[in-house]
Amino acid sequence: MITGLGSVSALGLNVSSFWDELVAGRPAIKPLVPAVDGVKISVGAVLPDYQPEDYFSTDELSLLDRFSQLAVVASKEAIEDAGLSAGDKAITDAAVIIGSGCGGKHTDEITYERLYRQNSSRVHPLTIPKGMPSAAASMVSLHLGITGPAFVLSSACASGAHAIIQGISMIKSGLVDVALVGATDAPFTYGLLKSWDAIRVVSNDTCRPFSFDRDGMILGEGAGMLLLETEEHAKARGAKIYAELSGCGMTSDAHHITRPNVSGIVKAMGKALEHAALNPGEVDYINAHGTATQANDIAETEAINRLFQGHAQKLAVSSTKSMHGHALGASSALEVVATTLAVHHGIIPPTANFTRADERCNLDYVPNKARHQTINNALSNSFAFGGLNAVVALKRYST
Amino acid sequence: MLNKVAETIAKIAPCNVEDVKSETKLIDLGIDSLKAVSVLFELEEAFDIEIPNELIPSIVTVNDILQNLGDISR
Repeated sequence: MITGLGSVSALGLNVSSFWDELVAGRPAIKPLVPAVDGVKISVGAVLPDYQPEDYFSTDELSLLDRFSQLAVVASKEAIEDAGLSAGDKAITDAAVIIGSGCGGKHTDEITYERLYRQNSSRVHPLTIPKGMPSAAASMVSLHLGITGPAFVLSSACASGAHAIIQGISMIKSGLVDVALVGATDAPFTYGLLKSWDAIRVVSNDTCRPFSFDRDGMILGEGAGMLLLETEEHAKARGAKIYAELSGCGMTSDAHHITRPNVSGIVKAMGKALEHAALNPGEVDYINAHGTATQANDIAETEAINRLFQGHAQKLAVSSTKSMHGHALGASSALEVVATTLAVHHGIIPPTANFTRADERCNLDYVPNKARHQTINNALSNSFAFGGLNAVVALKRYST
Repeated sequence: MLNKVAETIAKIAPCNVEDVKSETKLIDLGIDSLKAVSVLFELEEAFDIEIPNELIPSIVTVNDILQNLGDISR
């Protein structure tokens, strides 16, 4: 069961503003200010008005890369939202599993700049503990007093979904009663922007998933965290339950390092349905991977048509990346947060920036305007570079 | 030199510049092993020197820093 949510994204620094903006269909994609010299990427979904000093002391910040900061902020919100606090046994014994596509790149790049550009002979001694990919899990554990299993996993843009699935598995296997899961990424660094420039999949306009005139993804940053627990555990402490994580499907394409593969996507969604004991006709909504690249949106549409057959035309499919951008591994966690709230409130967030239909993308993408509709079952799709696919099934919870 | 060392220590340690006296033990200024490496880094930056690893065990007080800085600078 999902009983707590936390999010930090371009749509706001908490879940309440994240959801309000999603429902309003307001994209947080803006010109990068200041523009980054020597980089073609000129727009992004950057956190609004985030001041690390508002959340952490100077001493704490000396050990917190930006990606760890975001994980801690979102984690604190998730446990508070669940009605728990640091020191509660449920939190002390919980697992922390955090996905990250790129880890502590801010720290790494400051180090490399000193060495390679400034010809400095020494680097800061906290470079390793601050920048290591596992720092996000360590810092959440330290800040919240969590002593259960904790680690970071990485599967590019599916990192958050894989972390959530790992949490479900740990709970179902009886290893833990409570798991704090999600993902964090902070990719607005010079080196990463140059690298995304080079691969030529980023738009300099905006993110228009499934729209005829889409021309690529928009980078974002943030963290999404969810508190998971067994139904018995949640009920015993009188927790509110947002939704049930009813199943999951994971596959790998063994096909191509960047090109999506329809069969792999079909198989991942199919496995999620099977695991959740769902027929295709029982799914009401899919929160799509929907990056707004030509290749992803066509492949994802074809996969939905292939798996859902006639029901594909009755499904609502939307991509919230059109609003919070593609925050790499964190996106998949932010999208599960969005899907949880969609199922809980019975509101489907739209695909923003949609102008006109593409004949190769023939589904109902809920263009530009949120839709009030009961959602009994939903899927959240995440398909990473390298052909790593993860799909999470969510079910409306009724007591 | 004490002033400059005190300012460098106070950047890292949870203390004020005026708390840093010659005879003060670093541990009493809240400098644990992790903060100690940060202090050494800041001292290297501030004085443009290289502090060898073998000197570290002998640094207990602020005065030990001052003496070693004097030796290194010479």
